[in-house]
Amino acid sequence: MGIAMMTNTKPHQAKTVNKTAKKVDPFATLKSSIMLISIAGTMAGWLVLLNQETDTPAINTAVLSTTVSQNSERAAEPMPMVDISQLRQVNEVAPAQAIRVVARTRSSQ
Amino acid sequence: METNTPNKYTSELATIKLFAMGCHIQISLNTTRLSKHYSQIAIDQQIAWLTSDVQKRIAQWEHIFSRFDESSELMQLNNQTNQWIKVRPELFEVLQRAIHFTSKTQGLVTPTLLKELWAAGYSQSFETLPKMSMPSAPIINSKVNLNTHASLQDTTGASNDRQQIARIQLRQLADGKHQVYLPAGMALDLNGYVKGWCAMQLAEHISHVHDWHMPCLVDMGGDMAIGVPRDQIDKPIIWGVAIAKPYFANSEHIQEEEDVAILALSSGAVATSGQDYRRWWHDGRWQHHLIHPHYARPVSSDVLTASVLTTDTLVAEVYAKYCVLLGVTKAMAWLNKHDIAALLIDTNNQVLVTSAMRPSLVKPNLVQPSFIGV
Repeated sequence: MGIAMMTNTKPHQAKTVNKTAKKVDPFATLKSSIMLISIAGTMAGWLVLLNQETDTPAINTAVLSTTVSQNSERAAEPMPMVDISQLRQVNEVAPAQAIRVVARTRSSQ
Repeated sequence: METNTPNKYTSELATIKLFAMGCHIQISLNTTRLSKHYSQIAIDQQIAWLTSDVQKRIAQWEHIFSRFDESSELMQLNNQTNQWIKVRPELFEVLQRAIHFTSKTQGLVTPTLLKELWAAGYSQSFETLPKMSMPSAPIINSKVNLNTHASLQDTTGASNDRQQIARIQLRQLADGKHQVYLPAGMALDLNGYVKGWCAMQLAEHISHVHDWHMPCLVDMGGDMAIGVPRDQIDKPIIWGVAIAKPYFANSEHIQEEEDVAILALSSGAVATSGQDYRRWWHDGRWQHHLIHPHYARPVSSDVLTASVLTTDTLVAEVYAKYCVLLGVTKAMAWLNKHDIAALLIDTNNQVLVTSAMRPSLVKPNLVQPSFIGV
């Protein structure tokens, strides 16, 4: 029983090798090249995007920059920013305009 | 008493205007919270009842405190010196507080000056006093003759008022009744105290006792009290109160809309006292109602008007009068020492503000650089 099995195994292995040899893709190299180029292109695109974002200040940087420590280089960078003192002035003036005078104090009438 | 104008309503503010106790009275009611729960008709009805109630209260107080009505309780007390006289709790309370503040003001603000007011010609209601159109020059002159020790020699009746005030006695009997003993020769005038006291009473009544607990500002001729309901759940209501420009003799019309400063107040009281308004012509000279007790005549001070913020209108009125009597230098020193919020205008029309006053100033820019144009 055991010998018969050995005999049967050899022709089966030979068939397998033949099948593998048949599956070799002639365009494999081309596909690999395209994949590599695609990966490289994607990475390059991300790098370009990241590089562009670094150069563009965020919209609310002005507000954030007020909390950046003094040692930060970003805090020292000149950048377009809203003058916070103007905001304070607006906040101070707004309630004053809302006050409605209902009475006047003067020497006893 | 007379109601000058009908009640005026806006969506959030109702105003009651009256003329009584010799002054214009205006009560501003904030009805914002009410409009969410009641119809306008119901609010109008409630305010009409309140107006009637206020009129009754003021009429009652006028009958107690008037010095121009011989039947008033105050004048009955003045006419029955040297004996114990039963008085109402209202008169007892105001007199008690007036006596308290006499010692607090070194005897300068005292209720015992009725005879001096009479001597200065203020013996009848202010509206009926002679007001001649002279002199042509402004009454308030920068070179006023201040009351000095030299001028004391020319006056009569100078006395130690603190000793005088100590001779008044008050007592409450076991049955709860109040009695006052006035020494012979003394006569009381409580007018300044009464306006402040009434403003506080009305503000407390409207905001605490009345069913609707309305936030309010009561203005008794320039002396104001703010009523804040105890159960107020909303954010505090801010009332805008202007400190008006003083009156000037060479100005025929009252400067209605000319303000020196605007205050934002959520509670407390404010009062103004000055030499600029209650003036009349008597005995060949201009007189006014702020009598200096040491000289027994209207004070000549370099403080034209004083406006003071405190928690109580009676106290604000006393302090404002005290500042006029003290003069600018002493008044500012005293105010700053006690951290009292105040704004003084001197006879050169300069404005002086204490540091405690600044947080309440909404538009400090209205306070011109130490000068008001006349």
